[in-house]
Amino acid sequence: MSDTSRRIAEVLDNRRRLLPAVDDEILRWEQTQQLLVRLGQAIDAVGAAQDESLAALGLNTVDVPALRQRVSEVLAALAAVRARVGRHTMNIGVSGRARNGKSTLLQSLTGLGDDQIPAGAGVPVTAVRSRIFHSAERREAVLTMHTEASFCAEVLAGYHEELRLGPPPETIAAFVAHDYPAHKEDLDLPAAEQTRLGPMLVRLREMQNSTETYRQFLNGQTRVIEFADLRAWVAYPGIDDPRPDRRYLAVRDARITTRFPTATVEDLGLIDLPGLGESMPNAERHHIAGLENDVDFVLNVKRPDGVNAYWDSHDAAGLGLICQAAGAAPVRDFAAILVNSGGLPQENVDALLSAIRDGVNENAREAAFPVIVADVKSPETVQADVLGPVLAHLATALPRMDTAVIEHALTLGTATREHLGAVAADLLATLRSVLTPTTVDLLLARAKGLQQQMAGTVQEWIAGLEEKAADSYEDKEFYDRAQQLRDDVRDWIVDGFGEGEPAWRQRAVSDMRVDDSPSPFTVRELNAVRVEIARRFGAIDDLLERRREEFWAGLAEALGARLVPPADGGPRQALADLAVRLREAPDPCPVLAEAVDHVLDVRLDYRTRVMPRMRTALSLLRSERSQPPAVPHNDEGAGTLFTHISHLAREAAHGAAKTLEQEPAITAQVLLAFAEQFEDQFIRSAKSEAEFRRLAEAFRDQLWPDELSGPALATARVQHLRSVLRDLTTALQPSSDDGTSR
Amino acid sequence: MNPAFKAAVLGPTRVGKTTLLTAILDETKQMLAGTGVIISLDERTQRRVRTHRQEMQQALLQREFNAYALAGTQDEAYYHVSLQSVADEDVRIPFSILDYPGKWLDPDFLDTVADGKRKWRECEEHIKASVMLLVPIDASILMEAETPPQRGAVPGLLQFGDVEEVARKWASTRNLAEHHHEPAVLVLAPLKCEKYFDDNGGWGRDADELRKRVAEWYGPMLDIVRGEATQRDIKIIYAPIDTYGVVELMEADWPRESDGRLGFRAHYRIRGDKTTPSVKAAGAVMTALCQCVVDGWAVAEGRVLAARQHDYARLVARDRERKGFWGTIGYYVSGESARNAADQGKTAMEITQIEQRQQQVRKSVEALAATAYDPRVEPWS
Repeated sequence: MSDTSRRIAEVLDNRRRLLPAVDDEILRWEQTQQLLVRLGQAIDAVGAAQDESLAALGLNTVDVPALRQRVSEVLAALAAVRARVGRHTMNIGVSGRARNGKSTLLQSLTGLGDDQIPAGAGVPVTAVRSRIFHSAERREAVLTMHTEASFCAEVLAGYHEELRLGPPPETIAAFVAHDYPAHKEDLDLPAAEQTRLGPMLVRLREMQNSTETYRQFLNGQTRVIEFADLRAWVAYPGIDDPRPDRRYLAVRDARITTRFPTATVEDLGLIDLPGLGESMPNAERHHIAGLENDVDFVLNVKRPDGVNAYWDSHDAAGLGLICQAAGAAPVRDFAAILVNSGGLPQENVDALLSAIRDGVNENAREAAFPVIVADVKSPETVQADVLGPVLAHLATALPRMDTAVIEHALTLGTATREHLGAVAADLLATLRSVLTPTTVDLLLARAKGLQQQMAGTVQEWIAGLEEKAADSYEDKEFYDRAQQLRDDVRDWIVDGFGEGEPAWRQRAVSDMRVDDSPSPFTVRELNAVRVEIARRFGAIDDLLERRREEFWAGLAEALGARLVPPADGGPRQALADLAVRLREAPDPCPVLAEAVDHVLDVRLDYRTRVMPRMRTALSLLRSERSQPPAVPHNDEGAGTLFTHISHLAREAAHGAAKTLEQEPAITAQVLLAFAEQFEDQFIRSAKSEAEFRRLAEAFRDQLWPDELSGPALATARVQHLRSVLRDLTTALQPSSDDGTSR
Repeated sequence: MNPAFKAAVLGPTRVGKTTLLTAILDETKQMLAGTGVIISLDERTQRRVRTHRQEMQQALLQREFNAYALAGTQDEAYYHVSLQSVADEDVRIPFSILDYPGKWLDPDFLDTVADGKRKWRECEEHIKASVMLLVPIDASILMEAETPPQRGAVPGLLQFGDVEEVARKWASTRNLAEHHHEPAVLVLAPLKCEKYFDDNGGWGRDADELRKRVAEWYGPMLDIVRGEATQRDIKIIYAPIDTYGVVELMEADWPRESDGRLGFRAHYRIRGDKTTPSVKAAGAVMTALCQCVVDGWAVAEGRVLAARQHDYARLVARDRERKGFWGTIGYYVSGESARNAADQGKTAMEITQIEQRQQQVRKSVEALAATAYDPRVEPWS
């Protein structure tokens, strides 16, 4: 291994060691950029809080977009560093206008032929710019194909942009169907632009007309191509081809690996840079992107043949781009002008060298751009006069350039960091003048507010219950239901207790004769009728249950859907869930939970509440009170007995119905009592205030998913802004390995 | 014609005024048994009472009846009854009790009655001159009203507004200077109470609730009466009365009437196999009425003594001209009634006997007045 090769290998090795630190730095600045986005949003939010005292702080004078622009510049510098240190090879870019011998130079350097690197003396032939890497073992050409989407976005979009044709099509079908202007005069451009961009329109239409030749390759896959077949993929078709094959349009990237016959450096790459002056959209942008991202050194090839012997404005523009791409690296380290002298008169070469000396290097003793004169067609000459000196130069220049680029990025980063830090410090200092409540203050205020709010809604709920408990309140639904039950029972009685009066009387006669007395039958019947009436009035249970559900629903509504979210099991389940959550909160609220449990324990069922009171009315049907008449053991006697028992039953049913009619008022009173007890325990008990604080803390996210309004809103937003600024300040702290990573 | 002590029955249609008067007469008859004094009715009154008793009897025989099925009073009636000596029908203390159609309390209805305004003026005059205002109350309406709509129908069904207005006039008249020393008794008499008591064959336990509801509902009327009687006291007696005794409210309905208001229908069953009424506490009314007379006697006799110095006869004569309470009392206290009874040509022995009989009637009235009220009955003032 030569000294040059060893030194270049060291450079590449050093770069690889830097990579993690660079990536970390990029990550930090990307985070910083995100923080600046949040900062802008936080400042806007504070402004939107419409708080006069906050408006007076002048937060809106902070130019966040400008801060972000500065961070973008740091990121751009770091991206350049990343591109540089991320390369596994040392790449030499070959630049220059078309037909100056770039492809010939590449052929000489790589040993590849016209099929792999098309070269021609007439029209441009290189359709796809290849990246060619040296490898002693491998020899392959790998093409990465466009997808339809990437083709539209990366190829067609450029044409549409330059030609001002509006948004590009998003599919090939849409591209085929697109109606493009037939003539350059139809373009919506000034006349001069129409002339300049006319060829681009022609090329676009050619692409549209030949989609069938490349459409099938737009699959995003990679293809390994035999070297012998490569030309069809990377060269323009001949101009006389009646059906030009434009499959090159499907190629997104071409990477060729082969053994360079003249290479003395292992990790060497040659990048065929897009030619300046070609009829392709955004040529300059593509060119500079290639320079910045892919190459360590640029050979700008110039062949002074015919009228091309002078250093004209196009050449100057090309060099200008190279200077721009060099960035922080010294230009003379980054690029050289290669005068392709093969087969040309010496005076042409001299004229060009003179023009370069006068026009480019301005007679400086230390030339800005090194100039190499060589016949690029000769591999030996290229090795001896071009590659050898360039590699020797890079062996010493690469570390210099790397250092310069990295220092530039670090310097820019440091300055930006200091600026941002100062801005953040100023903002924090400004915000310190704003007296906002502490977290504890906010918690206490929220707890108090919640308690007051719930006191209000619970009282409204109770007011509704009081209305229902008032003497004048008419629970028509309940009364109608009670009346219906009473009518049903009465019909049952009058209709002969469900079996018809004749059948009843017949049975009575039979029993009286068997018992030789009406008494046993009368006792049995009275008992049966009493039980049946009580059972039939039990149908009121559905309404009582509904009243209870309404009661719980009213409470759940009073407590709010955020504290008592709806549950599948209805309001009772929702309240039961609340009681559990209150108990199982990190700081339990047992008193509040008990209050909820208490209202859940309300019982309104018929058997518990109504039937005991109904007993008095139904006791009329007890044998000891019925005063049964002495009757003969025949049908007439049975009739008298029927009248007697049915009258008692009707009176008992009437009394029972009256009891039922008292129920709405009593039920309302019961529910009101439960509600008032709940209010006393939940809102007003000695421990309520403390437990509301716990409630506010435990249910904070549930109760206040968004910030509240007014002062709380402003406070929350100021706190958020403070938080963002603190994060920003932290992110701006220098990393622990800063300085050592250089 | 002899002057009579006046009383008036004030209540709405179908509350049971006639039934009440019948019950009062029946119980008074029992109370006078063996005293040598009977309660006698003039012919017209006898006819009315007889007819009413027959209707009641028929209802009881049916085992089940609607209290409102009995014919209501269609025309005003003056029940002329007397506490009379068995031996001499001329020796008596007469009472005139006005029973007028309850509907007359409604001025709109009165407009539809032939000569209604004149008749009502007569009724009003009688009411104003009455020492007793008897207010029968349909206890079942008060006690069966449970729901707000039912409670809301109570004032209309019991015609509170009209009853209060008449009571106000009666009280204000009683408050006039010329009536200051006359008795004034207001009797609140809940009827159809059988279901709510357990002292007359029933199992009811609602006597306290009935008292409470009467006090609540009629409290405003009592306030009006007390408010009008600024110069005197008015005696108020609460007397829940069983007019049938053997019946019990079985069902009550509150049907929607054609005018949109709630009506009231009560259905009664007969307890056991009873077919005759078992009146309870109705005698309290006669007792109270007799107390008025006895109280009047005491005052009047004081006045007779005073007249010896202050030309009392002239005073009495003026009272008599007005046929007021004192005129009536004076008629009996001054001996005029005895003189009238002792026709010219009677022997001294006969005159003595007449005086003895008058004394007997007087003792009977005093005995009635001294009769203890039924335990249900309570003085409220």
